[in-house]
Amino acid sequence: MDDTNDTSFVVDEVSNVIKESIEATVGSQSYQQAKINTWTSNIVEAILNSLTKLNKPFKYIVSCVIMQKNGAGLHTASSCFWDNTTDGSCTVRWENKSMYAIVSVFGLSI
Amino acid sequence: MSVTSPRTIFNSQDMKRRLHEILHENLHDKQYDSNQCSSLSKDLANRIKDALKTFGYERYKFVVQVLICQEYNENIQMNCRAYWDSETDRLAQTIYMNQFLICIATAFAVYYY
Repeated sequence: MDDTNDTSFVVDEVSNVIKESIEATVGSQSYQQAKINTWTSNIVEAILNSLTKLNKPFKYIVSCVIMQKNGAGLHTASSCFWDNTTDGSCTVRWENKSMYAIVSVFGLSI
Repeated sequence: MSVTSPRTIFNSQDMKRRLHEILHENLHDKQYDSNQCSSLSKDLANRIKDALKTFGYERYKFVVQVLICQEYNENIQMNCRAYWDSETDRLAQTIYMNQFLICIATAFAVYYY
């Protein structure tokens, strides 16, 4: 019986969850200083809710960065000490005309 | 399935101090340079992960995230949430700034039962 789908981190599935959450929250919006706090919270919470509904034996960490497009540079890197066979991560970079959003999800099996 | 509990829980304060030391050692004399910062962020993430391992916490998994951005009058917002066990799992975060760049380093420690 192959149950690896139930107990391993599936990157494509998580990537779709992330993209849908970003589109639903900021998809058609322009950068607004007053709103980005709410947007980042909403994106992160929506992703966590969707991930927990998958009912997999994982702990999740979700991180979202929204940056205004004004020419500044940004680099992000991550390093993990975990079990490569069961744990995984997914990072999605999204942009529109006025801002960048970078969302990372880390899933650690329990 | 037997569930274990940690003998010592990850100490955020010690971690935060160590994170700040590592960032200061590596960034105090740096300017923002696109090519250099790409490898610098990876290097920092690896150094921090190695430092976490030396603390000797048993059965903890670590995730380290390093963000370096140029000091350019831009607005940036970062938010993170976790779905975990708040009794065993912890996070340590530090922000380092000099006149050219801003660096945010976050370390998550997750207990493996």
